[in-house]
Amino acid sequence: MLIFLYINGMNNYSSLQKIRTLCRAVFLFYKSYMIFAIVISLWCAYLISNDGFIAVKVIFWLKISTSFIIYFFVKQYKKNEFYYYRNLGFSITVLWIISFGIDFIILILFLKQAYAIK
Amino acid sequence: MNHKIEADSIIFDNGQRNILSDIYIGCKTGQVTALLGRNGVGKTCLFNIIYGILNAESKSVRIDNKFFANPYLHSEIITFLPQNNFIPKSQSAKKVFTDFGIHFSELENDLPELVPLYNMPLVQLSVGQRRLFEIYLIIKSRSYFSLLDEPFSYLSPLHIQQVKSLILSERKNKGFLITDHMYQEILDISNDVYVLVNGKTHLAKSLVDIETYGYFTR
Repeated sequence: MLIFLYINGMNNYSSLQKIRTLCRAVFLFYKSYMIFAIVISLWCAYLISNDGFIAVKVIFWLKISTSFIIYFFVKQYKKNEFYYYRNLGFSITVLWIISFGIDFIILILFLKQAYAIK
Repeated sequence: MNHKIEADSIIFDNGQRNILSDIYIGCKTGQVTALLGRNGVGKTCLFNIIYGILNAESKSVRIDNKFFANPYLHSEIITFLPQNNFIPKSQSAKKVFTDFGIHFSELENDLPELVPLYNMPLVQLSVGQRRLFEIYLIIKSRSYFSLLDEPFSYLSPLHIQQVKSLILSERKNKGFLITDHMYQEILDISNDVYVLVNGKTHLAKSLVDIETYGYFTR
C-alpha cells in the first residue's frame, strides 16, 4: 500500500512504468550489497540448523550489526550512485527500507528452510 | 508554461567557517544560469542545498513561488548532474535510458557516435564516454530544471561543443543551472552569470565584473 502511495508521487511515468522502474531501482540498490547480506543470512541458517531456537538471539544481533556495517559501507562507497536514484525521484531512505525488508524476508525463508531440515 | 526556480536566505557553515551567507540565484525555463567561483567557495554545496540533499542552517528554495524543502524528491521538477560518475557501472545505457523514459532515436539524432556503446555495460566504457552518457541523460531528463555541476570535466573539445549545442537546444524545454571552471564555454551559453565570492552571490553583467569579483585576472 505504502509503495503504491509512494509511486503515485512519481508524476513523470505511467503506472506500469512507475512500478517497473521502482522494482528495477530497488533490485539495483539491493544488488550493491546483496552478496554480503546473503552470506550472512546463510550463516544464520547454518546456526539455526545446528543449535535450533537457542541461536535466535545470536542471529538477531548478528543480522543487526552486519546491517549497520552494510549501511555505513554503502553510504561511504556508493554515495555517488545515490544521485542516480534521486534523479529517478526515489528517496534513498525508502530504498533502504524496502531493500532491508527484502533482505529480512530472505533471512526468514532461509531460517525456515534450515529449521525444517534440522 | 514557464517555470522559475529561486534560492535565497541560505546560511551554511562547515563548523569551521561560514561558507554561504548571502545568496540569491534564480533561473527560468528557457534560460541558462551560470555560477562561477574559485575552488572551495561553496558552489557544489550551494547546488546540493538547492537540490535538497545538504542541510543548511537556513534556506529558501522556491519553484514557481512555492517552497520546496526537498526538491530532489520531485524528479519531474529538478534533476542533478554531480561532479563524478553516478550511474551504477553494471548498467547499460539502454537500461538507464529506459528508466528515464528517453528514446533511442533521440540519442541517434543527437550523439550518433554513442550508438555502438548503447548496449554495453558502462563499466566497459572510458570515463569520458560514461560522462557523456550521464550528461546526455540529465540534459534530456523530463524535468523543468537541471543542475549541472562541472559538466565539461573529462570531455574532449569536440564533445564540449556537442554538449553546449544540446543545452542550447534543450533550453526551450527547461532551465539549466551550471557551474564549471571552463568559464569561456559557460559564458557562451549563459543568460545570467553569478559569481560566488566570500559566501555571497553577485550578478555579473560583463567580463570586467567577473574580473572585479576576483574569479580570474587578465
